Amino acid sequence: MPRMAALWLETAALQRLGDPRLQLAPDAARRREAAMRDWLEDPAYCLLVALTGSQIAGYIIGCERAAPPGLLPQRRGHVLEMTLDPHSDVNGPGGVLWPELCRWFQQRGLNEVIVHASARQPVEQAFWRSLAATELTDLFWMKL
Amino acid sequence: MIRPAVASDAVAIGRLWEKLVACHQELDDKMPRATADGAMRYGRSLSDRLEDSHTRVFVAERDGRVVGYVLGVVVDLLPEMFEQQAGGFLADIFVEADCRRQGLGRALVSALTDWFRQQGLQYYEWHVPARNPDAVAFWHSMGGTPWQLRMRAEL
Repeated sequence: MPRMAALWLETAALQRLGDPRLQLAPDAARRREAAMRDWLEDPAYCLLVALTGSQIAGYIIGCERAAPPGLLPQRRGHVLEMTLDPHSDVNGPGGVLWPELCRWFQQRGLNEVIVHASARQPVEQAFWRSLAATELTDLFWMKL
Repeated sequence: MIRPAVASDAVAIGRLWEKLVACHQELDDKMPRATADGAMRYGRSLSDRLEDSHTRVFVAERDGRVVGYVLGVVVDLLPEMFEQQAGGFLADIFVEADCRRQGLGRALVSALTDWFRQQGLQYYEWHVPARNPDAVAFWHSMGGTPWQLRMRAEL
């Protein structure tokens, strides 16, 4: 968990450089680690890590959620995040993590997954498109 | 006239929601479909939340008929590891086709954002169907900027 939280923090800090709307809390890594420990105990969540030797090259977190009232499908899979070690020299941990998470979703009878990609991260969007994900909605933001 | 919704608006709002979902489906068949009793469930869900201090629904009324609505909620949108700024979420907005381009959509958004400000919120977010260029253009003209792309993959 500490290593995953550290990877998350490094990635979030890089994202913040491209989008200052993201403001990290001073103890962000500690809070993230606590959240991950909660998810690890929750059967509706799945945390998978890709290892190279004993090192974590990346991880993916998915969960199952109910749809808002009146909408189908009533339950869907959600990818909360996929984080890869930017310093790792291993090729394609994302391509390994994704099919494993898909299997977890399928075992739960889900046939649709929602992922979020930053509007300012075209590489991240391209990764998901390469896995046959298609655009559903744009999340807009506005200061009041 | 724009006014806060009351319990007796629930059926009309449920019907408008059904049209909103159908409109999204027409643009993109990958958008979520409504269940057979979706309008009833949506209207009932809104009714249950009308007294919720974190939820507000405004309706546009014309000649005694509810022709549009907007639903907004106060919500912590960012996970707790990010610095929290109180934010709002515009969950749904719809105006009947024969009442569009008359400023009702802007008036509904204005009523909701005024309420967001009264709640001390600093920003708000909302989803726009990626395949609805009119809606994307409308929201850009309102001053919104894209933040995230929500994507869907079949298993």
